[in-house]
Amino acid sequence: MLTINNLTKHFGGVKAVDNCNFQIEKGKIVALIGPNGSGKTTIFNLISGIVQANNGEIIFNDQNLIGSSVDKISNFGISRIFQQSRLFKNLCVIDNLLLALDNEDTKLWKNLFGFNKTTDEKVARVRKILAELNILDIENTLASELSFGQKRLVELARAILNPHELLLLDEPVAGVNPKIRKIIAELIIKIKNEGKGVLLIEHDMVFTLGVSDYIIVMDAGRVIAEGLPQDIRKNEKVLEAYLGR
Amino acid sequence: MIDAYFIHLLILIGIYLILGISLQLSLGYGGLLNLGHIAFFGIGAYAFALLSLHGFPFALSILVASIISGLFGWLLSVPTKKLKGDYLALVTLGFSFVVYAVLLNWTSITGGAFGLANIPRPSFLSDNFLFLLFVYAIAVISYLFISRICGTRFGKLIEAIRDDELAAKSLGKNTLKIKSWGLVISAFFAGLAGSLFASYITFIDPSSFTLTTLIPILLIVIIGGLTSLPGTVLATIVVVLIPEPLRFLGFSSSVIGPLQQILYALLLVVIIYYKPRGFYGKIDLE
Repeated sequence: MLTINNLTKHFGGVKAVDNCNFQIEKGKIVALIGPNGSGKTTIFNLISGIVQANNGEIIFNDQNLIGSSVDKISNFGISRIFQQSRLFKNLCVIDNLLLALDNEDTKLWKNLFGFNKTTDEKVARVRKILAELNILDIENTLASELSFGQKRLVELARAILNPHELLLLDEPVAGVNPKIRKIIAELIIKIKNEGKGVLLIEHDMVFTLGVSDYIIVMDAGRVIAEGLPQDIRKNEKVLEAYLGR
Repeated sequence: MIDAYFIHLLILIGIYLILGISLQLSLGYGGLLNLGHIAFFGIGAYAFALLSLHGFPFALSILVASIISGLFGWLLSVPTKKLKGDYLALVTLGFSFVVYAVLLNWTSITGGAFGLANIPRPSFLSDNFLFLLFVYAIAVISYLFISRICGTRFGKLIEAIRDDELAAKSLGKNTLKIKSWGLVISAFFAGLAGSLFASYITFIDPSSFTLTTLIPILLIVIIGGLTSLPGTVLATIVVVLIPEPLRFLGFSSSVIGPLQQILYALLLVVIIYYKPRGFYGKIDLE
């Protein structure tokens, strides 16, 4: 589904991503872990087209994403959430989510002449995911008025509603309470069971090891280890990178 | 019959209303700090005047002048597509200065500082009261059109891009296209207001399309409240009427102009201090 070959990104003299290689298969949750500044979020930004690589390839379903714009990459089927909240703060939750469903809203004349209505079917799809996340009661709340945990859930819902085959999740459970963490874990596993790929960045090791099928460990922009969760748990290089021993 | 002075004020309110709601679309809904709005007003006025003076029918002149203004909106959107905030404001302000310089110096076409006089008005609108009705009919249509756009999913997308363009892009939206549309529609209606202005005054010169004229239009949007069309209507009435008593205090016309600007500045300070979101604004001024 997604193949990263020799991916490199410099910011001035700093090698944020240094010759990285890995793959993500359909129906798998792959976690990208490593200390702060190890290049994980840069990898996400490279895959989603926010920054452009200095070298290497990002192949998604036989298509090289290098040089493609953020919107095109999203339309190829890659959806993401960001580390910081990026909800549309002056829109209510349901409007935030309706925008993710399709791109019919980009057509001026179709909208102007009433051919792109907010149908009951669209609202039902949005409400279904809100119900799954147990936040149906906030559908008419402005995004700026949500708590941190609610924002995280709405962002996750928006990324899921955005048509995709691969979901990039940047610290989805950072700062959220155990109840919400459990809801998010169940949802990620459900997405995987639908045959979609998930690439996850998360510092919470209990969560990461619990949901992931495969783990890639980065340090200083390089992949230093990869393998099954049970192997990574005992890997010396990983312990050294994380715990400094 | 309604007093001629009162009719004059109502006509100005109608024209400024179209300018205000069109700027509300790009600034309030789109978040584009577009200081080129006054240039679109001028382009519409001059295009209308030139077409009318060359014998084009009234309705066609208005339509073509508005389209020309809209096209300039599109042209401006190309180099500014990746700009926002202060940078966009500077570039669009520069655009206003360029348009002003062209109007002033391309004398063979624009008449330079002497402007264009004797702009024809159709006989059926020769009476100012009828012209007032015409301006309000256009203002109502403009209001409904912009209100319609803002109420659609397209309008919600414009607002989403204002709030977070990168997030909108990551949902697969071609944000540059949407912002372009916002600027084109905004410029179209500014050009429409310019056509009505030229047709009403029957004389235009570049001095009507400077920063001094832009300030009350910006004020209308800010004190009306960002993303509030009803607020824009109320603010238009306030902004047009507030300096009018100065005319009856015996000041010379050279003093009235600066006093008007001082009044606008005071009004802005008071509103921002006591009501930062303006009359009915739904979002903060950032």
